[in-house]
Amino acid sequence: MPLTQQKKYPNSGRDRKSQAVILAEMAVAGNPNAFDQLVDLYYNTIFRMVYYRIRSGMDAEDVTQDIFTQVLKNIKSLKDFSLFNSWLFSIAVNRVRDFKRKKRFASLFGVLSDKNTEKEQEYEHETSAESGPLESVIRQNFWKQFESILNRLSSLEKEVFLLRFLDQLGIREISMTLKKNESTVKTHLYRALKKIKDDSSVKELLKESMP
Amino acid sequence: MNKKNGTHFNEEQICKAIIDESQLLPSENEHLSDCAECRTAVESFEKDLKLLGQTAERFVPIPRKRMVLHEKAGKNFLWGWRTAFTVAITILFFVITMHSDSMKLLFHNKTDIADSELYSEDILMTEVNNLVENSLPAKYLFVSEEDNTDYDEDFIDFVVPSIDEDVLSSKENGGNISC
Repeated sequence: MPLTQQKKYPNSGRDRKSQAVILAEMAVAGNPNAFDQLVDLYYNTIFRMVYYRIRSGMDAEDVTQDIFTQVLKNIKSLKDFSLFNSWLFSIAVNRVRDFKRKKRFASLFGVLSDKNTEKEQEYEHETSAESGPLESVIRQNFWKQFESILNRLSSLEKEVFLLRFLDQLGIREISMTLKKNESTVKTHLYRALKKIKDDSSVKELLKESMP
Repeated sequence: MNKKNGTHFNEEQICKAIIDESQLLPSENEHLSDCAECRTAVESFEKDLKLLGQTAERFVPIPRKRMVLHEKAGKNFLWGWRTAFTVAITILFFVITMHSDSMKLLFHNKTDIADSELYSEDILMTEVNNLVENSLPAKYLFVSEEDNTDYDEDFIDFVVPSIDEDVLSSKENGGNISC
């Protein structure tokens, strides 16, 4: 497929995946434009995926950059291009985990400075300026409550839940991303859903966050 | 309650239906297709989860910077050259410093060795000369009363003339001994 025809990306996830397979093949064949398009295709998805987990726009940008650098380095090792989506998400999950470990380690020794907090506030201010102050307050409240809901889940339940309902991955893709059995994924997803269904705060959160 | 296909779905069955409908038993599937109440319960929870995902997506900030993989690669390239240059300079500095030191050391060593060799040769020659003059050790010189080797031979000859010379001179004078 010529590159000029690939500029419009279809909205459907399946079409995007097939598009990604073609672009990944072309990128491995040595086409730099194909890799750029692959990045364009997945950048926002991966940025969102990272943001859901670390909830810092600035850090999410850095981690996303890091993820695509890893993809660029290792794309030649990918044997089956149909697994590109799962492969990309597995890199992302690992990078996010590494970032969280580093951050925890840094906070343990008090390395995190006030400068970072200031920059993060500045970043939040910039992004909220685009959407308005009320939206900004609703957003902050949403993430606060969302975090408290997720904190009731174990780390694997949380990861499985996020991959399924926020990143919109299928059970098979989640099992390949996390390198777990499909039945294990389903079990953890079931536990997560049970905890969330019992929790009335999800409905309240959704009510409060409605535009 | 749907009497035909058993009781309504409990939480476990609702969660199962959301995760994977194929996990449900055939009777449960049948009940779900027949019972509007259970279908609504499943759909409502599904809708909440979908709405949660959509709301989360809406509240994610728009990333400010885009991917700059090629620029980064360029920067890395430049950084690599800078690093290589610095490393090369450092190595060169160390090589020059070490080389000059070793040369100095080498030169210094050579002169030192030559000097010490000359000095030891001098000592040896002095010892050889001493032995030629008198082979006895110093303590035997005292016993043999020859320790005072620094005497002036001309002065001794003047004080105590040699007998050989006297004999010779008397023979020259026709056997007369002059006083």
